Amino acid sequence: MSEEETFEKNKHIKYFERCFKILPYHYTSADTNRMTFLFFCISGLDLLGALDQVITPEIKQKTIEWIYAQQIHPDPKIGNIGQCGFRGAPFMGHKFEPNATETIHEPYDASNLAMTYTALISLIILGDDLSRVNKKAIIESIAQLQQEDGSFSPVIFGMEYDMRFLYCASVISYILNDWSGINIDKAIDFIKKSQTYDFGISQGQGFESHGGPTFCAIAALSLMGKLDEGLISKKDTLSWCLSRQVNGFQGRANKPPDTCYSFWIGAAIEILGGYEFIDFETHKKFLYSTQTNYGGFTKYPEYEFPDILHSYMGVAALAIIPEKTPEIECLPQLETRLNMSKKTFDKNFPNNVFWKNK
Amino acid sequence: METVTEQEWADVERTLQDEGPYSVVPISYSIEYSEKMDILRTLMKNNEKSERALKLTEEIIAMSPSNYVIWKYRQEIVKELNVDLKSELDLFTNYAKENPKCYQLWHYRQLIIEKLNDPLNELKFIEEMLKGDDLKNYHAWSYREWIVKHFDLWKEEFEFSTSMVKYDDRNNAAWNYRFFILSESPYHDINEYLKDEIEFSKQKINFDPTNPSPWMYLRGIIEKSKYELAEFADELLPFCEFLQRNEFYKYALEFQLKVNESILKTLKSEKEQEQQKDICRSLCSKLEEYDKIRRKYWKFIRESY
Repeated sequence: MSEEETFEKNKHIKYFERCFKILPYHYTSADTNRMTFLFFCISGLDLLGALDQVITPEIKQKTIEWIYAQQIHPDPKIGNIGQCGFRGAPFMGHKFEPNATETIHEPYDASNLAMTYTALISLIILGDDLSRVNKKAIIESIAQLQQEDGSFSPVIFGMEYDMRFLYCASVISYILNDWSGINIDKAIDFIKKSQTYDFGISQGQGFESHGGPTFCAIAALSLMGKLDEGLISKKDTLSWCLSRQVNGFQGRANKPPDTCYSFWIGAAIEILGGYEFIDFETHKKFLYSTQTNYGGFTKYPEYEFPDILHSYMGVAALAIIPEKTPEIECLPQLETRLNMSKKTFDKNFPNNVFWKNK
Repeated sequence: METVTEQEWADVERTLQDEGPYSVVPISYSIEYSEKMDILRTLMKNNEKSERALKLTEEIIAMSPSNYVIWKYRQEIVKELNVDLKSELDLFTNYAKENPKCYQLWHYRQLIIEKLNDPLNELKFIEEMLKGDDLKNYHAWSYREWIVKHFDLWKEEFEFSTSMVKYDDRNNAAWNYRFFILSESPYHDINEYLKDEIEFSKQKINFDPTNPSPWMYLRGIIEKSKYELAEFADELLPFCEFLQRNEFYKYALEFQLKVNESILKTLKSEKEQEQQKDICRSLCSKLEEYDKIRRKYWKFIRESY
């Protein structure tokens, strides 16, 4: 990679703009996760300082409406507890009703914690005050999704439960300013059991420590205000995280560095208060080498085409860096636990109906 | 690929996806996907549990394997129609090979095996999945742990971990699995294995001191046992020193530091402690030199004693 590589801000703006307007066919395989793609576009543009420039107030409002139209409300007839929150897209075929307060239940229709989390963050970034969010129904649903071992399933009929959804449930509880849906003792117990012999954190007891769940657990603990209680050895976990820096970061020992772990591990390190210890220059150089001519970032430097997850994570990872060199001076600080601009958080978050006047 | 035949679905009203006045992050679906989803939405709404619905779910899963809603619908159809679960498992084996990182495919497998209450040939299947480029597949290893725990198949697994570590000693997932067996199996007592495991790790370290996996395992297995690292200082510190007779290795230095920190905790007199801290500080200084990327961290640790 050439020495002159630098942060390609304008190309990335174009990339997120394109994704916002249309995603290529191969994203069909993740059709149910469109809300996360929307979050990547909106937060990506926001971090790049281009949200207002690319998305007009009118389109912003329409986007807010689209998000609200994915909300599943209680069905007064059957009491669909455990199923309220957000869908990732209108794939179930419901009528577009952004102002609904009830949802007529249909078989197989259920919210997904990851979609509820990204819907709420997107609404905050877009400046909405969350007044149409049915907090009570969501908190009741979260309670239904927690498993006996403290972990969370993303959907009521879910087959998977691990650290990712414990994180999503924690962010939702934080935003809605209500932790009554989570049994915190059980959640902490699950996090403790997921810490491995190398002090990294895994998706669940017995599994290999991994950058993704390490971020999820640390961010969740921090949001709960239980960082010291939940980590067996904060010092050793920080050391494990720092050891993942190769130039960029690897997600597990002996794996190649991958753009997204610059965020997952970088953010975990930042929350643990050790970000000053990483080597900024080699880290940035790695990230710049995963940028593409089309804008966006790839997973590995040798890949040709960007994808939306790695593109967002690349930008977010650069935003964490506290001492910003001129080429990334345009990036605001990150609110790492929620994964959005700190500036936007400070401006918009206090105005949401669950925190206002609190 | 099959296309939607009018005849077969003539009786089914289409339910379109309602994006509202402005669609955000729309995906450019294929016509085939859109048409089939339009039918599927109606079938799900009516909760139709039929052969044709079963077939349609498979066709859509082929295009969108992580759609958890369709998987749930398929489960219900399979239950209603009494579909043979073994054939269901076989059907998705090829999909699993094509999408080795798809959560839903793995979880569906687990669900079927749980219902059959029979591990069948799953250990062999996982072994096949772990071949080639996918030695570290997180899903495969996690699923293996579940199978072994659920069906009490611990006994052969220690040997399996040996073969996997021997095949690629940089496969950290295999090391983790070895630790999992020794720490969670009711048939293995970590304390009984400790001596052999220290030997095993040392062999692997001798072979390649730049491989972090055996170093982390060595520390982990001792800390998990009834002993402290300090109790092995007489064996392990000379091992590290001999290893570094020609050049320094960052993992060896870090390990020496951990052993010395463990010794520090046992010392009572201030003078002894101070001497021990000096040893730790000098190891940190070496780490600043030989683990350059983390030099700021080692400086911080050096100054923290």
